[in-house]
Amino acid sequence: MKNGFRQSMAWLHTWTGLVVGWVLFFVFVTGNLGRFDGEIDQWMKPEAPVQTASVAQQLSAAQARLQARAQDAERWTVYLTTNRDTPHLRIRSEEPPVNGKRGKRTEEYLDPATAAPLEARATGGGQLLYKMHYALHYMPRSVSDWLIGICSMFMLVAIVSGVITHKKIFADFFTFRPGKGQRSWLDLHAVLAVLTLPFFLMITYSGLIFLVFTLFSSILGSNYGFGEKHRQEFNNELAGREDLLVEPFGTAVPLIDLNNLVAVLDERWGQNQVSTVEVIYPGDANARVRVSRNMESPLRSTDELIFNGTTGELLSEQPASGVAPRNIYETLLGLHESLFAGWTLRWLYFLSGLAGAIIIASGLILWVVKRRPKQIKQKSGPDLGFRLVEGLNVGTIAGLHIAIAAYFLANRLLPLNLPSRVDWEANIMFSVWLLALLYPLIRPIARAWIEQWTLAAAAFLLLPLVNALTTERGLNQSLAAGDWAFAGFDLTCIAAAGIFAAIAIHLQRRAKPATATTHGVIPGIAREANA
Amino acid sequence: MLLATLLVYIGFVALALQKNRHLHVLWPGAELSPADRQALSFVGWTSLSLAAAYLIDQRGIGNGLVEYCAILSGAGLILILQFTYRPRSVLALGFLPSQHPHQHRLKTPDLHSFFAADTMTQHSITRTTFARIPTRHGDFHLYHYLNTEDDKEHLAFVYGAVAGEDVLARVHSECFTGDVMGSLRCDCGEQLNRALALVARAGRGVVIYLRQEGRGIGLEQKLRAYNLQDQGYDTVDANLMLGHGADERRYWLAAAILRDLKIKSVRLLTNNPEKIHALANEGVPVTARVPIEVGLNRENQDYLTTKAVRMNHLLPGIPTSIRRAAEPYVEPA
Repeated sequence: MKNGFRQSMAWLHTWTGLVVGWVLFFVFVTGNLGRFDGEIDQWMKPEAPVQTASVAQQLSAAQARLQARAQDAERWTVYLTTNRDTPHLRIRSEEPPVNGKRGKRTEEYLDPATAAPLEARATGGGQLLYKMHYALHYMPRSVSDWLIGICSMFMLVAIVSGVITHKKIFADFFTFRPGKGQRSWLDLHAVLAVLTLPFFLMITYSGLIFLVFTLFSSILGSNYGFGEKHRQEFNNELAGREDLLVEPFGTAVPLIDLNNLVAVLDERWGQNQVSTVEVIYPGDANARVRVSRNMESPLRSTDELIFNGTTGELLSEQPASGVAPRNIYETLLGLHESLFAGWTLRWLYFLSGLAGAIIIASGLILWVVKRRPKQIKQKSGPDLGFRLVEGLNVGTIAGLHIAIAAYFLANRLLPLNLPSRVDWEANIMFSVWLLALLYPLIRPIARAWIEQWTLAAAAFLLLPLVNALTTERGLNQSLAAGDWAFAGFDLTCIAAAGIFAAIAIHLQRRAKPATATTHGVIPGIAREANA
Repeated sequence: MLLATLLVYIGFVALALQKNRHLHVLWPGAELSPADRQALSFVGWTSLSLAAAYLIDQRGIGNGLVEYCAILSGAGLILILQFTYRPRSVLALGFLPSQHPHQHRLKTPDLHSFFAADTMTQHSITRTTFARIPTRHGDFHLYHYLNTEDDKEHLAFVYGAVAGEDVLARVHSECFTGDVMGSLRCDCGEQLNRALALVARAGRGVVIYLRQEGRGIGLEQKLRAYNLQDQGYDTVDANLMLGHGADERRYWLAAAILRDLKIKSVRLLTNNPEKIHALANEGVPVTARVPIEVGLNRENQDYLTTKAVRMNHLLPGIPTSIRRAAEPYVEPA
């Protein structure tokens, strides 16, 4: 710690930011790609065009499939293709809880025309990439939730201490001074952070709110008891869904045809407004059907209708907006997820997230730039810690992009019948990232930067090419057909490649040794003269 | 959304122009009265509020506020990029010219020259006035300039009729401690005096006085660097440790002033090869270098050695026995 409030805050900002910077960079990049998870899903399942079946047909198909293979489940959920987040009909079944732990969940994509599983390659898709930003990978949620929770807390501390440290927040509001070394990095870091402060604060704080019941499990536990079942109970009570607070009756009564509800739904909300249909205790006399509407504002809770699952009688109607504390909670979560956002706002979200990644990266780079002059002068060479930070910076800030490109390439190039194909996509991604992190061990740091950016550019440029070669939906076809998920993906890859290449070229130019001037000889000057 | 974006943008421009740093990019030397500032502030905050009100009215409180925040970030970013790389495009994007402060020097935005302008040469200088200054070396004329990049008064000290080729010239960067107080830490004061004498003796010439104190880092930072130097760091490392470049000086202003004085090419009084390259890059041919090596003393010996060895200055007067102590400085990648 240093003396003085501002110095203390600067110290706090530097070290909280450094410790978790690389995890946060990963979280920001993968989470930011999650803004387009549905579109990435489409790209990663090139065999499966966007479905356009009616809500009734989708419900029939889903019900047939669930009845055939998940009759004993406690809960079914059907995700309809009525919004951009769901390009393909998806069903989920959940078995009854065992010893207070949540029952096993099974997810499946369906072809609404045949009620059979969707014929498409096995892939983690955009969903897996998006999921990584809060669940990481290769670890159970009980671990990742705490890791992400702690990192987010550090981030919040770094944001608040950063604002306090920033002396000239108003005077320098519009100021960027390029080409001045450390000063420029600091300007970049500060200007972007000030501009996107509302977003930055919102995304970090709301991210923590997602984890609130994990991080403070005793809030719920003291009143409801621990475990998934009690959490459901709490959620239902909070949302005022008394009609869902039922126990299974124990007698088998067949479930109604779900598509019989469509007429009621259309009348109340208009066509294609339903996002999910959830069935609790299917096949039981106490079966309930909960229907949720598509989101239309940052408020994540939506209008809901609850039906009796054996008679089809409408039991109750829940408005989207409830008591104020719940509205605040749901709005924070909705703001974070941005499912309500249309195309313009979605891209602005994406750009804000990009700014967030740049803020984190520039912070990490600043740490190095500030210490380099002293470090390279040391007789014994730079400290191990300094070199570690340099290496992690290269391997993450540049290397992560190579890894993500590798994930997409694996989707196209792995054999379609490979067992555990979904796992291999992710294994390849993380192997490439590991290699990128180790790479600075064998190369000088300046070269490692240039080479990794070059590789990232090449890999992203390769994606549209490989896509054109391995599918019928290459850029020329997708542009001609107005297939915007595919065209958008390919064009974004090309843009990313362009940016990475520009960085590589810029670094390459700077790395060239300054024009050597030997003493007394100045190129371009013919003669020395006397006054 | 477009209307709201425009309102936010106009609001930001108005608020930014309250600051001289941004104002002078568009109108060099303009002065704002407190009433002007209040008007700008009023316009700024009103447009920002109007945009918020409009969005909330159109899109509801939830969506409206989210879009508002996104627009604030986006419009701010655009404006910053403009001020940094294409300041005049702020005018070109249709900011109300009626808003401008009571200033006679305002030129209407010239779209053609804007689009033709290269990013580095878009800044410009304006000569305000000049006056005769008698010195012990003879009668000089001091020319006063304003420019679009910073708020400082850059100067040219002219002797004789300088328009033409092969003019003896010194491009000197401000050093309060050396030039005015006669500090022995550096050779600035002596170089300045020598330059004036040489120019006067040559019968015509110019000493350009650029206000980039302390190799561009400012007096305060230079004093901090001096403290580091007293702890044993040399002038290059001290600057680096304070987060500055070894040399942050830039020379486009010198080139612009030389052009204003109709000087076609120069014989440059300098020991610094970088300065020769910099001027050449700015389009001023340097036909010859005239060495300007001055006294070595106990206080400035380390300083000059660093200049010679780490910054490639041409100082044959520094004995090789001293030179070995330092190693060359290469700009980090």
